[in-house]
Amino acid sequence: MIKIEVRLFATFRENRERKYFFELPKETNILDILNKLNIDREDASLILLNGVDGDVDRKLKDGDVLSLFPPVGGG
Amino acid sequence: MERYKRNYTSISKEEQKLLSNISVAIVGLGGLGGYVLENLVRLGVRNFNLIDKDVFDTSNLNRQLLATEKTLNNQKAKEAFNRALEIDHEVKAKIFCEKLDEHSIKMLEGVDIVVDCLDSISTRLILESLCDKMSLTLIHGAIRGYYGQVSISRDGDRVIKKIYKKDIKEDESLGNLPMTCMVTASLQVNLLLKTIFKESLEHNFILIDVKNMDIEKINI
Repeated sequence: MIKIEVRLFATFRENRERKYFFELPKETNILDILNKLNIDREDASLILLNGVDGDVDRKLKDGDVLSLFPPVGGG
Repeated sequence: MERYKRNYTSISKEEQKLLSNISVAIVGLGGLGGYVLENLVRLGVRNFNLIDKDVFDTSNLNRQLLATEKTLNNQKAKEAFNRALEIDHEVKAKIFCEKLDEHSIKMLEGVDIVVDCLDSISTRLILESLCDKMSLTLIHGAIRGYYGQVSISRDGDRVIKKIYKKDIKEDESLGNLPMTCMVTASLQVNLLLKTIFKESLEHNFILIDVKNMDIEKINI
């Protein structure tokens, strides 16, 4: 098992917590987390794994911090 | 100068002089742009390019400083200039009441810095591309509901294309709230001051959560 931290930003915080700590099986990837939080892949604009942007197929490891940002575009 | 007495000494006289000599383009004069302009004119900025294709409508009244029952149906960029002149009759501005596109270099010519107060992701990407061509620093701001963000897009570190993936669609159902506009616009102006005063910045992306009253700074 691995322990990870997930941080949600902006409108992803609506009806969700700002931060989650999950204990998950090895081989879990970012897409699994999006599904677990009921976030559509298309709605995540910036996906930072330990500060680095990238795709949702990246596998998670113990101690990782995942930050998820929706597009915010009003003015 | 008596007008700026309350700016001192948080802002030095040299910095005050610098502000009176710079020229700022504000792109979008709605929720963010109205407060950005208000802040800048009161700080002592006197030269602007004011850009907005729209007129004020009733749905702007909940948050836009320049939207009043009297200004409904009036061009936003023209009303912005009127407001600036009410505060300081020496303000000078070039007014553009047209849509910014890939060919809008003339809208940004001669300015020292650009402020993104748009309400469209696709136009933001075009604006950043124009700023890149012209080597202009762009102060980004955007809001939705209780949430805002500001960022600085500079030569060699163009952040808007990182923040918004190509063809990304936004859920706009949370609308735009006045408190979020005011806080976000004020932080954009603060970021502009830091840039003009050449202060170092540790982070390039600032996230504002008005609902929980917190601000987080990260690097992207």
